Amino acid sequence: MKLFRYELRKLLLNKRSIIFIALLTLFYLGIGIGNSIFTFQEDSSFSEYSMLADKVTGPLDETVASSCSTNIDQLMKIFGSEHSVKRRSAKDSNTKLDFEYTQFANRVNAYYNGTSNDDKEDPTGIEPLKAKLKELEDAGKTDTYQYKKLDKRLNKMLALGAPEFENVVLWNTLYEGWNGLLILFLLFIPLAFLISSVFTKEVSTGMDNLILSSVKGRTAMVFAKLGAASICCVVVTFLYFIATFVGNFLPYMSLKGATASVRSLNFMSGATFDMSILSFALLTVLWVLLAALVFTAIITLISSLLKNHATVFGLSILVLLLGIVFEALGSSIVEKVQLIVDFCFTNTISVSTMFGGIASYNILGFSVPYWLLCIVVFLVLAIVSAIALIRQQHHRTIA
Amino acid sequence: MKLEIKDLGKHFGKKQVLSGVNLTIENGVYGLLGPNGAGKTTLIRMLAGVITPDAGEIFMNGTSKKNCGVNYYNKIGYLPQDVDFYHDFTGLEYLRYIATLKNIPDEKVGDKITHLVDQVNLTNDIHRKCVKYSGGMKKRLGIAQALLNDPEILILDEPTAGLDPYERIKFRNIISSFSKDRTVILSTHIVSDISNISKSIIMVKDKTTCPMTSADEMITKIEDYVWEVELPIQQLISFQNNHIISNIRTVDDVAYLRVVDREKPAAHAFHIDPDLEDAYLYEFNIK
Repeated sequence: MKLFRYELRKLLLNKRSIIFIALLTLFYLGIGIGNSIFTFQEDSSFSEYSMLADKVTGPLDETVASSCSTNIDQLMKIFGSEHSVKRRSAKDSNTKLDFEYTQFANRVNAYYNGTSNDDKEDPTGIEPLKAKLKELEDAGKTDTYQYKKLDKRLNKMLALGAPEFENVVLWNTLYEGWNGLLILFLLFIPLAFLISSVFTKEVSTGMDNLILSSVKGRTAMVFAKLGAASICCVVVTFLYFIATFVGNFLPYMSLKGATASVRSLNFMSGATFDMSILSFALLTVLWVLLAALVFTAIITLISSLLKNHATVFGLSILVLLLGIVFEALGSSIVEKVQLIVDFCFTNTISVSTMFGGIASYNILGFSVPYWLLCIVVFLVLAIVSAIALIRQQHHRTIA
Repeated sequence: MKLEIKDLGKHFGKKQVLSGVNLTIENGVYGLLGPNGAGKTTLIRMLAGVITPDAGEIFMNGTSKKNCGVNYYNKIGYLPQDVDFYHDFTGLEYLRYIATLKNIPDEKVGDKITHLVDQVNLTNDIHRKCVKYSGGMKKRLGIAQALLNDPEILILDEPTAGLDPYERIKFRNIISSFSKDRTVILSTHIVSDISNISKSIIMVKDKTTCPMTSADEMITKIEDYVWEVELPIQQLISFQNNHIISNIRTVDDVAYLRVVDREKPAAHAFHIDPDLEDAYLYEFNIK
């Protein structure tokens, strides 16, 4: 325990690290504020929007949907793209409602009829699912993996029911800031910078000579450093989420929508589970923390293998961006390494990818959700990293 | 305490640094002598357990180092050649950290540190941050950490580099008093450190160690090979290029040279009493 406290001191509880983390937290707060402050501009306000939204909260109202859609279509003709219309909607509460309600109507339509991007063999809407299942039943394929998967999906969607409209505009904004790519650059890269020196510091100071020739220098030291790195990871991750959360809601001083269904969020319409948005936010934090801890174990291993902080940091960034690197090489490459790409940090830290869709894997005839398999992969990576780290430290020498 | 080294060898890539090292070391001070790149630090690091040998084995009281496990490190105190410190640690925090690494019980740490800090004359500076220490103070702190666990074998790599003459004398006294029932292995270029306190000298030459000798034996070996030569200063450079000179003293336009050579270096040269530095020059420069 004592050794762990010293390692924590070296990595986190020193002047340099504390100043770095304090500045990082202020930066995150600024990011949070900057992300949400432009959601309502000029003539619009959150309170006005909330009054309008409360009137139409609940199941889809076809009349309202039609009116909103007409207004949005007119704006599309003027501004040309959905993105531009969205920006315009920030300046007027009524337009904001038109935009949000139209998005909602599209989600309800997708619930019943699927989307144009759907794979015909793997549909998502109620009607296409029923049609596909009937087709499989007629072909006598009720014992196949595909039938079981689709049947399970249909039952879940019927149990959940169609999405309902809720005032979750601030939560949508929050999750725009909590998207995978931003988390990668704003959280994981600073984390890599902080943790990369966990072993390289001993090389640069020459302390490796003393550590490796001491009683606790081989095994106890590994656990102490891993523990310190993990605490560092937890602290920075929590600060990231707390600061961006506070920043997001601070301009409006309202958590309206916290108890709404997670399926109200734009990217979660395809989710096959339900919980409150606040619970989902907690799940998001825990999920990213899990990914960050696995990443921490990997960086710690890399740090023990190399001598130089900058090299470890560079290699850690490469590990982070592996998915992006593969995708840049083209789809033919991606197809060959699809499994690696699926479980790269670029994909696994994105909660929309993990929980917002229908992705699953056929494992011995069972449909295993993407997120569940991801947990297994995380555990394997963490255990392998820890074992490799212990072995590395046992055999470590001064070259 | 008996340390036996049998056929120890180490290579880095294709370069063989040491091979066939055989030594038996018991209580007393052993000086490790050799030029830069001879393999002294490599040998010391293998003894300290920081480097794994590629050949041979080390035995402590008859038990192989591999089988000793962590007990081996319990008995070792090591001061490496180059150690920096964690800049935001004070001297006291640093020693407490080392005590933790060495698994010294909490109840013993306080008294040990107080005693050692006094011995190395750091009492007034122990609460200052290590980044503010001078080179000599860092060296003294390093010596203190090496002695923390009361080791049976103390391994010191260039321990007096950076210390002023008074500190070097004090250090030698610490080592002498420490070595009564223990083993000290001291690697240094400062020949006077070895001559004053070493029981035996281990020379590292041609990638291995020579049979153990002593300062007296080394000096006796070259008693006919040390000369004094008087030269005009203008001839100094050409003479230097052709002879091994251990000291030059100039008075007006005349240079008085102390030369190590088997043959008489000049017609007017005459014998003088050799010292250990002469012996070092002889061993490592004359084939």
